[in-house]
Amino acid sequence: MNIKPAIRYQSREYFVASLIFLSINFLVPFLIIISLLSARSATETSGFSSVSYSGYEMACWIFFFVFGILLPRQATRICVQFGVSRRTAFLSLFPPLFFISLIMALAQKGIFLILDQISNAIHVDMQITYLFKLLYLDGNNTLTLTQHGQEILFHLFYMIANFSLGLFFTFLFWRLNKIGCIIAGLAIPATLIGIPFLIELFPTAFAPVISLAKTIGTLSVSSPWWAILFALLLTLFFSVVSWLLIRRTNIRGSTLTSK
Amino acid sequence: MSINCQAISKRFGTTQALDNVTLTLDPGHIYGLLGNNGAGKSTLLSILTDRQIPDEGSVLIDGMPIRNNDKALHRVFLVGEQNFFPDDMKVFRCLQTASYFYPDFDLERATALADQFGLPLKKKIPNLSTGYSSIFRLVLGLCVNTPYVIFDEPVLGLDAQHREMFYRLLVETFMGRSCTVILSTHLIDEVEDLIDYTIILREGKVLRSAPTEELVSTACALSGPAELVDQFTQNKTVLTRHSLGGLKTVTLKEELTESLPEGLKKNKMRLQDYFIRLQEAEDQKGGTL
Repeated sequence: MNIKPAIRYQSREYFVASLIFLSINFLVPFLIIISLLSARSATETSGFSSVSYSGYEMACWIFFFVFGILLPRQATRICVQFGVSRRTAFLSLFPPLFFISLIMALAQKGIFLILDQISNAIHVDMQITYLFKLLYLDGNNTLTLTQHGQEILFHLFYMIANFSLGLFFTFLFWRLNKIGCIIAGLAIPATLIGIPFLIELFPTAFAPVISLAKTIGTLSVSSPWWAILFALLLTLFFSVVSWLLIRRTNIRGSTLTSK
Repeated sequence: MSINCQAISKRFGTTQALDNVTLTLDPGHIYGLLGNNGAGKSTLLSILTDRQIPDEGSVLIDGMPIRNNDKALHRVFLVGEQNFFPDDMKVFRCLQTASYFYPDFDLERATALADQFGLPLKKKIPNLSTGYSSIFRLVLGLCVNTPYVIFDEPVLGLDAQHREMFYRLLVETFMGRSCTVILSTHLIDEVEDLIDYTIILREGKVLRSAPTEELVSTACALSGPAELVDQFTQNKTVLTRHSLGGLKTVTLKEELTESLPEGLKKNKMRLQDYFIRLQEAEDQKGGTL
């Protein structure tokens, strides 16, 4: 299996993009603090000032979703050009993905910790909000070791799940012909918007779906381990479907070489 | 040790791109893969490298099926028309990346060839002109050092000087190490002296597959005054006829051994002529060369 060069190539692509993303995410809260300090000193007010920072988790998830859309085709093409089978090319997506997701999850912890320390030192009341905290910590800012681990795994596996969702979409549209792409492009948003309406209109017919959604939601909220399992199942599902889509797709170049 | 295509068929909608193509490509040859537009050449080459999946049939490289087989696929490199590289990738970075995937890739020779051709190493691949894009791909193909190298329309957009340079380098590469080259091109006249084995596709089928010399010796061209040509070829199998004023050129389905009347001239069949006459004969009802 010629997987090592494929992983090496993709690691670089993951790393460069993630570094840029992390840098921006590191800068934004600092800029907020600096602007707050500047405003405070300009007006000569004293005492505590308050700022909230949220959405980092969501930003990461969206980043990985977009990554899942953009990277796999490029990676598959270059692997196929350089004598790597599409199966190896597909499998090589995951090791660097896991590694970078872990770094991003740890980076989140690091960023929040640093922001916390700085905001305390300069008497700025910084409220850092993120999904895991909202769901499982009940306002408790002192986490046990297990909770730290859960937080990292929660963030990590939901990033991977979002990547696999992006992967599914990119391979779906690669597999379809022009008409199929148009149909899928219309059908997917219509379904996503339409299903909640239909459920509301015909609750009895959709009772099993509602029941399943309630079960998943209740379990996920009750314990982070259930949420992490759900993320793993989503990843597995979308990854398997993505493989089924790509295994017989005609691998086309991005453009003809002549411009 | 060879590339075996067994009963390859591929359909795109209503178009039968390849129809039961069976071929063996033995090592140590430079193959010419010829055919009109839409004959199925690029489709066949894509299938050989697992970029496209055939509807029927299979491909073996050195006895190994290519489906999901890194070892088999690593033995063949396709220099195709389509761009498989990222839009932001620069030429040198691509050559470097090639050396990660192919340990035998000669990076030093690649940079030297790039310099020889005037290929800018710091330019992004999509920003290369048509000619330099071809040159970039040629450099990859000449330096990758795989047992089988396939060039699909390699000289697209190249000027005459660079084309000649490429052909010379191709021969040097072929003579320098044991490899098999498959050259798919429309410029038959230019590659005739290079290719020792010719495969001609037509409408997805293999029309001819034989050593080049053997193919061109199965026919000859006769030219001269129209009346004289008609008189001489009365009892012969004439495949194609072309008239220009009072002169006529015919293609005969035989190698002439007898002496010719004065005024008639026999021309040895060039591969391009053979190919054109073959296609014309196929176009005509019931004709075959």
